Order: sequence, then C-alpha cells, then structure tokens
Amino acid sequence: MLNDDEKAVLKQSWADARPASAAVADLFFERLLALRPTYAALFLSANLQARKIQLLHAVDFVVRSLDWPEPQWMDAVSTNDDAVFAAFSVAEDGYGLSGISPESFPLLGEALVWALETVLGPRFDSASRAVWTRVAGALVTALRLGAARAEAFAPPTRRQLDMHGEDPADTERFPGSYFDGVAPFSLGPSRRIVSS
Amino acid sequence: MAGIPVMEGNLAEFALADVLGVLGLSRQYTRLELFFRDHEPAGSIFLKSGKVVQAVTGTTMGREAFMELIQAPVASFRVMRVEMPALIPEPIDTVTSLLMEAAEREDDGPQTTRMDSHEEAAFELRVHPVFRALTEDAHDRATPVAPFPAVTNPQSPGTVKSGMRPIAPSSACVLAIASPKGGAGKTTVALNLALGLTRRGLDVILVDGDINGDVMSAVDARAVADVGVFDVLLGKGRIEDALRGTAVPNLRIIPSLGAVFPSAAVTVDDHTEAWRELLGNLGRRAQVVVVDTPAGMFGTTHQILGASTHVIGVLQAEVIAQRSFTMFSRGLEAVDQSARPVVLGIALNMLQPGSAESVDVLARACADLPERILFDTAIPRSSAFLHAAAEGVPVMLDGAEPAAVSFLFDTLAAEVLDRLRSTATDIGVAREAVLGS
Repeated sequence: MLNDDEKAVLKQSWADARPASAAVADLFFERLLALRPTYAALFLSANLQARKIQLLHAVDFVVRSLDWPEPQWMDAVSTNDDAVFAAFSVAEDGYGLSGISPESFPLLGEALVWALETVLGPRFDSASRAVWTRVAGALVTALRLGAARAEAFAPPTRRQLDMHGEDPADTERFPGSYFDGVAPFSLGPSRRIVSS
Repeated sequence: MAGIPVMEGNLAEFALADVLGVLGLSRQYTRLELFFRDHEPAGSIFLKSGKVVQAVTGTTMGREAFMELIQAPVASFRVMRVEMPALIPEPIDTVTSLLMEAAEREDDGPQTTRMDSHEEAAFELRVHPVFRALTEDAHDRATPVAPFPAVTNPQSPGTVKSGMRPIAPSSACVLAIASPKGGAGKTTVALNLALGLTRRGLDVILVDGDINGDVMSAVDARAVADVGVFDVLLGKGRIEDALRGTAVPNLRIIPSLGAVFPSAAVTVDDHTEAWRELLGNLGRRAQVVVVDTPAGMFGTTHQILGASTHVIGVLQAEVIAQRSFTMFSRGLEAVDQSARPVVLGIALNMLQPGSAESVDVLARACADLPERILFDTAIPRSSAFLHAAAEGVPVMLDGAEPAAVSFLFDTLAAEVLDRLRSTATDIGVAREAVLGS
C-alpha cells in the first residue's frame, strides 16, 4: 500500500520525532482530551505514564513493520510482526483501549498526526502528513474492524439480560416505558450526592 | 483453499475501499470474500503486501473481476488468512492503483448514487413554492459564511461531494432539547446540533421554544423576526411567516418571538394541542425538527415534550446540575405515556477537564446512568463559545477555521443520527401516536 518513497518518509519523520518522543506522547494525550474531554475520567486514575510508553512502542512497531523493501513483497511474515494483524488483536482483546469507544478511534489517529506535526514543525511537511494520515486511517479502521468483531462475538452483558426482564429489581427501579431499561438519573442510597 | 478466518463485517458499517486499504497494509496472504445481501458469495480478492494478487467472481477473473466486485452491491465480507501458494502469480496491480482506477471508471459512468438520490429529494423539497420563497429569502439576507468543506464519499473514492454522507432516519422526528436546570447550554447544543445534522445532509428546522428567544440572541438576530413561534401557537401568525431561512441551505429557524411580545399568559396556558399541530406540521417539512425548550421540565417544556418524538437531555458538568437532574426523569414521567418522547440520550455539557468536581459529574454520570444513554461526545467549557457569541455566529461557523470544539458537534450529530436510525421503529410509532401522521 505504501511505496518505497512513502515508507522512507514515514521512517525518517519518526526517526526525527523519536528524540522528542516524551513530548509526542504528552501532546497526543493533550489532543485526545481536547477532542474528547470525557476521556479525562479514563486517564485521571489510570497509569498515564504507562499508556504513553505503550503508545510510543505501538508507533515504533508500526513504523518498523511497514519498513520493508519492495522486492521482498512475497516474503512470508509472522502475524506478530504485522501492524494490521496486531491492530486486529489489540481491538479484539481490548488491550490498551479499554474505555475508548470504537466511534472515537479516529481521534487516536488525529491526535497522533497532530502531535507529530507539533513536535516536528516544518519538518513535518505535506508528504509526511499524507503518509501518516493514510497509515493512521488504515490502522484506525483495523481497530474498528477488530472491535466490531469482538462485539459481535461478545456474550450478552448484564444490562442486556436486564432488559429482557431477568432482573425484577431493575424493572421496579425503572418505572415508565419511555425507553427500554433506561433509568432516570436517580440518586440511590449508595451514591455520594444524596438529598436525604 | 482453506484458511483461518480473521475478520468479518458488514459493508454498511465499513466501506469496501477502507477494508481493502487496511488489508493493503498487511503483509499476510489474505482472501477477502464478499457476499451479497442474501449471503450468496459475490467473489474473492486475494491480497499480499499491498498488491492484489488475484480476483475472482463466478464469471470473471483478474482486473475485471476486481472492478466488478468493487461495483457490486455486496453487503458483507470475511477475511481469511490463507496459505501462500508455492508460486504466486504476477499481481494484477497495487490496491491503491486499482482503487483509483475503479474511482475513475465510476466517474465516467452513470452518476446515480445514494447521495445523488438524496440530493434530488432534497431539491424537490426546496422547489416546493413554500420552500423556494424561504430559500430565496434566506439568500437575500444571508451573512456570508465559509462553505462546508467538500469530502470524499467513502463509498466511492474520488467522488467529491459537498458536506458529509447523508444518513437519514427513516422518517421525520421532532427532537426536544431539554434540561431541568437553566444555563446548562441547551440553546448552544440545539443550535450547533442542528447545524451538525445539516452537515450530514439532513433538512433541519430549529424551533426556539423558549420565550426568552435565546436562539436568535445566539446568532445576534433578534430584530430580524416578525413572527415567532408563540404567535403561531396563538393563531396570530402563520408558520410560513415564522420560518426563517438561514445562510445554511438545509437549516431553517423559527424564532421564539416576533415583532410583538405575546401575552404573558402564553407561558401559563396549556397549548399542548397547538404544539402538536405545529410540530407535526414542521415534521412534514423537514427530516429533523430540533426544539430548544425553556429551562425546567414543566410548563412550556412539558407541552413541547408531549408533542415531540424524541428528547435529548443536557446535563451540565457541575454538581448542582447533577443534583437537579432527577427532575429530568420526573418531568418525562409527567408526560402522558402515550405521548412521551423516546429519550435519545443525554449530552454532558460544559465539562472542565481540569476540575475534579466537573470530571466527577462525568464519572458519576457514567456510573449511574444506564449503559449507552450518555453520549460519547461531551462538550467542554470553552472560550470558543464566548467568541462565537460575540461574533453572533454558531461556534461551528465561527471563521474559516472554527475552534476544535466545533468538531464535537459533528460527532454528536453522528451519534444522534445513529441512535435515530436504531430507534427508527420507535420513531414511526411515536409519530403516529403523537403527531397523527
């Protein structure tokens, strides 16, 4: 999908950015939270530093996996070294993506391109932007494919079971029928903000 | 040739070109199997390292088979990782080149696509005498704004259309924007969500149901309105005179107030039937009617809710708003069950990621609200809204490069549309029960 020139651009821009990789990771999460502030809750208590390192490893892996000379196109390659298959697995397992909805996966690509552009400045030229955008877009689609497959094969959640009337307590708690199984934003006794 | 199933999916959810783009990045030898809606196989495409090695249908092979499959009305796919043959044939071409060729062929061929059909339908609406007059009126008074960016239709690479891919709900709906608490940002959400829906190709009418008239304040156009929605409710004005065109072709607005302030009794008397008649009428003129309601769940809001097919709750990300949000459900319960709108979702607004208290409201909403009722999109508190208000434009139209926060209304509109489509049956039922059409 990428020609040799595009692979070279990808490899060089990542090589340029890698010394400032901490800044790339910081900016990635800053941008992600600007685009989707709800994820602030995900990263407040989670080990953000570990996520940053995970991100940098992932980018490094993608660049390496896409860096192969054209004459070797027929070579057999392990799925463990294949960025697309890795993305499938990550999304299916939910590893590192817990709490991020598939609808928001495009923001990951957007945040990464923005972070690289911010760090590299003029060195991140139109060719760099084009190739990173293309790669990020394809991998985001791979993540969405993996997530869709995981969802299709997931066992029913407790909520889905509740909606079929298997939990009488919930049925009592959700009077009315203006939506199936959807409760008012009522404050129960176990919650902190309670008007007694 | 056997293989290991890797992935499968629905092509209504994933564009075939995108699936090919993904597999084109892989170095595995894969077979993309394509199926028609009735699950009958359409053919297969073999890929390796960005190249299409082979394509087969029931009748053709090679390049023509690839082109045939790209054009075919395929509905689903399955990706198999297959064993590489000892001798790989000369590839047909790269995935990129073949997709470009397919796009060029489509450009040369008949241009009737789903999007064209939609635009034809929209055009028919616009040439209706009533709409034509409004549109012309809108053009006469339009404030120049940056045009919506053209985007590539993901279903047809290379086919550039204005706006986003229209995905309409199955029938018109009346969507109330409500909140128990004032100052939660209902007007901002209503206005920008209406714009977001138009950006996805829908015809939208935004009704200001709040006698304060904040929609027109937001766009700094209070003086423009001669006839308001309350005049229509009281039988003192016609819908046609109240409907205002805007600089956005698919968006019309009915302001709250006209030139004359209505009797204060209008907010006290029960106009539920008049609201039903009015919103029912508007529901036949647009695909989505968005109604900005006054603060609180009773009074005028109660009447509007009884005339709406759907409601979106706006939850301000601060503690007082959270405490009072129980009134959202109580207000809905007070609406007669036969006329009660479907709760499409709850949008968190004015989130301050730097404030633990504000984020705590989000965390509690995630924990306490039923699964999936909270929209993924939360709107942050941002000075961009202040700037847009000062400019008298919605934040989505503030300058050639609107603030990043405006992007969120596109994602909110996408979520709203997805939910509308998934509750399409409910819409029909609700319309029949509530609007009598």
